[in-house]
Amino acid sequence: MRNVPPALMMVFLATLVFTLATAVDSEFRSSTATSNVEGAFTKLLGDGRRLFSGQSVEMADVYLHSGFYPSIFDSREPAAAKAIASNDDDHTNHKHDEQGKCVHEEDHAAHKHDAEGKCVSEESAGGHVDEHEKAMSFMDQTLDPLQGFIRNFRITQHSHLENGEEREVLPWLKLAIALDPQGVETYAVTSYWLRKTLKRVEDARDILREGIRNNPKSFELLFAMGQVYEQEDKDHEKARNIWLAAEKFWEEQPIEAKETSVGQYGKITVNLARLESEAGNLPLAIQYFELTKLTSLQPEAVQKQIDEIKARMLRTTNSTPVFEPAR
Amino acid sequence: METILKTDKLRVEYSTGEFQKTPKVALQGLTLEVRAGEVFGFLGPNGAGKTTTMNVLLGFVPPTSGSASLFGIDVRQPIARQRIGYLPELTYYYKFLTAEELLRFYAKIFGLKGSEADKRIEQLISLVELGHAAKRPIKGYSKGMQQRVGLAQALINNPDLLILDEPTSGLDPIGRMKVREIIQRLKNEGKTVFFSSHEMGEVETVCDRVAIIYQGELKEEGRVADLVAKHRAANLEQAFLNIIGYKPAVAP
Amino acid sequence: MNTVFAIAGVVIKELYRRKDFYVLFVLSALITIAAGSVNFFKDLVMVRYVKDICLLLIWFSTLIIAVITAARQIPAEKENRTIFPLLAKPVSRGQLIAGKFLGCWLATGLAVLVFYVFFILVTATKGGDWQLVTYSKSIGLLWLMLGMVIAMTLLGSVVLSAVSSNTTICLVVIIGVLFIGEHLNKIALRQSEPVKSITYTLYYVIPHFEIFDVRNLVVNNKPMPSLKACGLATLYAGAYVTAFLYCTWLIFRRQRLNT
Ligand SMILES: Nc1ncnc2c1ncn2[C@@H]1O[C@H](COP(=O)(O)OP(=O)(O)O)[C@@H](O)[C@H]1O
Ligand SMILES: [Mg+2]
Repeated sequence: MRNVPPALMMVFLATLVFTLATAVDSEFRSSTATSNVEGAFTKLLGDGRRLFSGQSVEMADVYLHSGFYPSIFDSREPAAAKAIASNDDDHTNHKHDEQGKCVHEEDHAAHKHDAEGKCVSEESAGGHVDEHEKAMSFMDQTLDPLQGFIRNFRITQHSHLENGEEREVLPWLKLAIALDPQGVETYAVTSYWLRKTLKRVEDARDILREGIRNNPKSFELLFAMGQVYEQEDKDHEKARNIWLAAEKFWEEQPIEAKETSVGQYGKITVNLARLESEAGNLPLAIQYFELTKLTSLQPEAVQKQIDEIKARMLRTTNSTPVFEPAR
Repeated sequence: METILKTDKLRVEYSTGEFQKTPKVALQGLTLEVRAGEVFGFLGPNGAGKTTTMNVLLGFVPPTSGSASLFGIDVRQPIARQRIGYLPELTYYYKFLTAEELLRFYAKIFGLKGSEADKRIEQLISLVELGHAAKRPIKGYSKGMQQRVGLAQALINNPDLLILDEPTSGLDPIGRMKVREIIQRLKNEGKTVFFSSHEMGEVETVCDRVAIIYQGELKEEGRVADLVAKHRAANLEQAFLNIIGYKPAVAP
Repeated sequence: MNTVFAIAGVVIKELYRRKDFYVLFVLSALITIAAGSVNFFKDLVMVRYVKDICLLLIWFSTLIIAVITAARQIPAEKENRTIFPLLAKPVSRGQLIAGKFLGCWLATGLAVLVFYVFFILVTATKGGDWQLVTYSKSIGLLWLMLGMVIAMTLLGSVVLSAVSSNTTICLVVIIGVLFIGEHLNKIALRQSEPVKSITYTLYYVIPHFEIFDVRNLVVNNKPMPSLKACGLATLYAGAYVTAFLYCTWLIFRRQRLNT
């Protein structure tokens, strides 16, 4: 062994420790509350682990693309490469992480990029897929002969995991969470995949619980939890309460933090608005839509919703004249 | 008689480091001939150039000028070494092999196979008396045992010429005696032995002829008795000291 | 040829009598088993990450084995002076190099097989299927790459006298090529002139070890390269091996072996 360079031995041992720790970590998590392993992680890797966590999320994204993925040397669109979905399925908002990678939602949502490279999804279908295809067409460059040869040994087809194979991304997401328990986004993404694609509602709920336990004031996670209550349990009361809490935590933030998370605020308010409008609390709904409009990138669209509700209120008023004189 | 080993005006220079421009001359104009069936003693004090000469004969070091041949074949050709056996001055063998495996490896190089190789290995192991340790890794051998492994490997191809570099250095009296016995035996079998030494006592008893070199130059060459007589010395040791110009500090 | 095989045999014996291989194997096996036994979600089986980790460890371990085995061969012969009795036999220096190369290559090939058997067992327990063609192609490609690695390291070992510096340089070069080798042309595009041409030349000249890295295909269940592509890869590796060994011989044949 004395001929093995010590640096390599260190790398090897670090990997070992790392993997074992991850293994032990999840064991602990299931039995006791948060473990000391996490503390050990902090000591071992310090802030570097956040970096590794990001790397791990990227691995998940690579898997999602079945290994077809641009390297840092490929010219790719600054945004829209990442296909790991976030948990927004309300087609209202679409967001990017700081690196400008696109954490987009699945299905029929479409999105376009605004000036800052942020994604906004639209109700209309189709646009998103093209956008993503374009972002992933990093391989269509002029080939030199060597590159042409090398390509025989590479994945050259862009495809996504499907038919439940999406589960393969989960280990990397779990690892990302273990590495960075404060990384709110990862919980949201993980629970989205579990619930929407893999139909594992309880696992999704557990992930969100864990996230909220580690980040009690995270409005993102509270919002996601509200969606679980609303869509899976049809428990509108619980959903409303939790979204209200989310709104409150968003409001409590310092002003700069608010600016960077208006998108989340929009999601919360628009969902509250929808909830209220479905429940028939139309004035309250309008109130929430007004809040949404303040932060929306497409205030006209929101205004249209408001107008519709107003029209509905008017219709209601007109069709029930019996009560009118009584008031 | 057939000449088996020959050097002709052999010169070897070693460059000594980057800064020193003048190279170190290890051998100059060495011309030697060893004939079939002889036991030839190659004598000289430490640093005289004995090992260097052998390194040239074995192709380890290319001569700066001059030439050398074995069995009439230039030493630069590997085939020249088909019929020789060589025992280096200081050696280690593959520590992770056993003596038996080591000998089998060398046997393979000479194309010895199957029962022929088995027989040969068995013979050699009993000749050098390593039967008890033949199946243990060489790692655990003592110095004397290693030297005996060396002797066995030098004989693996039943060579016609043996080149032994100080075969008795570092051995105890029994070991030396054994080596001398083996040399005598090889001589009786008609082999040619070319060996270096700086111990005159043992040379005197086994050698037919000797060459004495000093500082890379050949000083004398001839039969032991002739040299002793020529220098009017009592024995080879005195003749040797005489030849290399050694003046005793205290007169006897 | 007998001589070459005899020398190769000694190299192989050395490898399996030393501890490096076992340590790396046990370490890799432990890590893979640890990673594979994590139960992320109840009754949800995930294979790809285990394959990924295991293949990474296989690549890393066999690469290390290849480099450290090849790097020490000739220097150790010199240092332990075993080269003297060996070359005193009718063995040419070319045969010595060929034997060392063959020995290292066969020995690492053996190591690759052992590792892969483990890999296949692990994936089988995780419900992976027996894709024998896939596995044999990826084993073959890895082995070809290790051949290039070994030949390059042997060349390094006759140029650089210290084993440790040769090992380090070889590993840095190999890992560097694995990471950026196939992207050098893209990097070149972004450079201004003198650097651009140099980078392009490098791109065409360096041994592209990364070609043989088809882990991504294995992990993502993608079809392996065609037999024709594999054949071309074999020729490619063969050309580099020949070139490296030829240079090794050119340098080594002139070297003085003395104390
Ligand atoms: N590699 C070398 N570099 C420089 N000088 C050397 C080298 N090897 C031997 N020499 C010198 O050559 C001379 C002859 O050495 P050597 O043949 O080993 O002597 P011997 O075997 O007779 O004791 C010595 O002076 C020695 O210092
Ligand atoms: Mg000497």
